[in-house]
Amino acid sequence: MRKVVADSARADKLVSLTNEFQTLVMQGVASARDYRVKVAALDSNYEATRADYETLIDQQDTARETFLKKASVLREQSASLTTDAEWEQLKKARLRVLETDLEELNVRRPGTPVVLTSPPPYS
Amino acid sequence: MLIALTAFLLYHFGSHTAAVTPVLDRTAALIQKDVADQARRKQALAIVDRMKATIKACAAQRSQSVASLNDLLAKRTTPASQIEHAAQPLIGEDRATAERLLDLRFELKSVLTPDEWAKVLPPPVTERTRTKKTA
Repeated sequence: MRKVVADSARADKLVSLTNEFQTLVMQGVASARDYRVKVAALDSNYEATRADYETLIDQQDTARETFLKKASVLREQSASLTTDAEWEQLKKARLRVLETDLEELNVRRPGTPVVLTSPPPYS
Repeated sequence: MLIALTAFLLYHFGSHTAAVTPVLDRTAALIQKDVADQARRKQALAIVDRMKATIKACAAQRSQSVASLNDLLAKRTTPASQIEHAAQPLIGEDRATAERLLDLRFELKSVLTPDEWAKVLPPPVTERTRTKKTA
């Protein structure tokens, strides 16, 4: 970040926003993983009702709406602190950080079908 | 943050579909093995096939919404409100698919006995149970 953005005041703010975003990603992945474990438990429960699922799904919808709002605002704030050239240079570094985060949480590369538990829950 | 956000949105907004999706190939194999009644076995396998088709259709439908979102994220100056708006179809499509999969889940329940269900969809192996088994 500091290599790309020479101005230290802007770089400080961008580092802070990036840290916030990383924390948000970690929380989001953990939330989705917890959600899938709970859904798997309902799947195996013959007596589970549709209402049981709907409650869980509603909770996850709320969580991801919150994630989306926070992530979009962080992105907007970061964008406002950078030039187009800086933004382009920062893309690659951000992707590497995200991939590391997802790998740490046993999540496959984003954009592909995701299996959150490794090995899978029905092994 | 552009690519990071794109990647994470794609991951996050497929969560219902992925979560409601059991390991379908394994489920089908267990149905073959554990459901003795031929007519019900056939019905159950057909339902699993429909689950797979639903997931496949969802993935195809999502690609257009993903492309629109990517176009917006490619622009540094896209406001947060526009990104949130563009993500809504992904959320809606995922939720709709989850509802269709739930319909099929309960259809599957209607053709299996509780004993068969326990064999076909065993409880997930958690870290705790895995540790107990290996201890």
